[in-house]
Amino acid sequence: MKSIKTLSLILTACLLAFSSCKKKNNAEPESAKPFVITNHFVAGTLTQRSGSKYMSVFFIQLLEDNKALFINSSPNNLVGTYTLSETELVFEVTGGNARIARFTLDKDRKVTSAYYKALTTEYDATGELLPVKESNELAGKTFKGDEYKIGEISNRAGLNFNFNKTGTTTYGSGIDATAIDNTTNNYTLIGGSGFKYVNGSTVELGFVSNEKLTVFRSSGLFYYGKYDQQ
Amino acid sequence: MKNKLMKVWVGGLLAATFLFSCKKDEAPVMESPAVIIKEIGANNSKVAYTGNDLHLDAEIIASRKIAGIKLQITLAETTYGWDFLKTYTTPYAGLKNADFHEHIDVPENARAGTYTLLIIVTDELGEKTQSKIDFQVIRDLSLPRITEASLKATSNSTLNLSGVIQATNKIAKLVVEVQSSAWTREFVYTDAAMIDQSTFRLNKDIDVSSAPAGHYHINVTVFDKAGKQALYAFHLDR
Repeated sequence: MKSIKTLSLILTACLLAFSSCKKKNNAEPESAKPFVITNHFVAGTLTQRSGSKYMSVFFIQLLEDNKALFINSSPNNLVGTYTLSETELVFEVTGGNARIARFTLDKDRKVTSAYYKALTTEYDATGELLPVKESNELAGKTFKGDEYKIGEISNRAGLNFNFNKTGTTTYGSGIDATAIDNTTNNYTLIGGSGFKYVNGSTVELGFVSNEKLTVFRSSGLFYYGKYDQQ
Repeated sequence: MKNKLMKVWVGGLLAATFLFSCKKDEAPVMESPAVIIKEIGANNSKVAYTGNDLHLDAEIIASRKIAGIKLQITLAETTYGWDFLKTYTTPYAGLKNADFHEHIDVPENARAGTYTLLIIVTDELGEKTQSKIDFQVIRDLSLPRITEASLKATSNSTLNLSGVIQATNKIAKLVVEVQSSAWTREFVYTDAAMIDQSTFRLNKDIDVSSAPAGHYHINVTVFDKAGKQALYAFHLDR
């Protein structure tokens, strides 16, 4: 009887020894990847509030050390700084090219509103915080839509953009989809979803998001549009 | 008595079980890599010239293997200017204690001014270390230069260097350094036909027949009579 009691106590001790450690639950989902702002960039549009309107495209590359590059149709990028809080991302340039871009963020760090002011002029702004991707999200895709020119005037209806296959960074555009040579325009890929093409004084830049391509072209006049993925 | 002793023993065992049965998760020691910027600009002058390349040398000391080296060059002030962003993996990924040696082309139209260079090394566990330094980009139109500079192996024993040297202050000499970890040679050219000229078409065969196989850095420096110089860097495997 005594030995049964003793044996029970020893067994209890062993059971406790094996069960007292909190096991790691393998089924427990892994914690979400930490948000790293430098793994993202802003792609957005600016539209004048008055006068002859047009919609231009810009990018803000969010670099290390709270530096940022504002990329638009200018030949050189504009260096600025940024600050990130739980609810806001603010890009700022001081001095002669002063400007501020402010993006309100929700809890999922999606942009809910955008504000942009260059010197004293305010613009209607949009912005999206997109992840920087290793892959080329444009490659092999075709988009179609209407192109407008400055003054919100229809310029080319049914314009196609055709991006060459994966592994290349060329594209072409035109009304006749079958006649587009997508090997002519060599572009710089921005964050995997954006592009900038420069040829002399012609600059075309745009980005893809939610199967829509937003494009702005400066070529004497200003041209712009949004194009649906085909 | 025996039973009592047994109970005390089992009780002790229980207590010890609670105290020591869990192996604590010890926090791994995360030693970040170290970055020491040794040279920026020729002879660590912290100066780069537009239309030339920026010589950069840094020592990376990592207790774990290097995953990547991010290089970020931006203007120190907030304005339009030149920028350079690149993450290097080849040939550094997988190494420890690497010599980060690169030559960055500074465009002809780069805005002159103070730039900030930032190096961030990430190791295989994601630990990061950064080092930052400012340097100047200067536009000096009187600097000697080699346009159409080209260096290629024409045979297993010969490298051919060609281009056009232009020097407002007249050419003083041309120095070619061929370096690998196992073999280093310096070739100094002071040809009568070249010295004191403001333009000279360059076409030199460089004898590297005794150079063993390996990765080579070739620095071509043209000096003018005012003591100014311009360096052009090439890399090749033989």
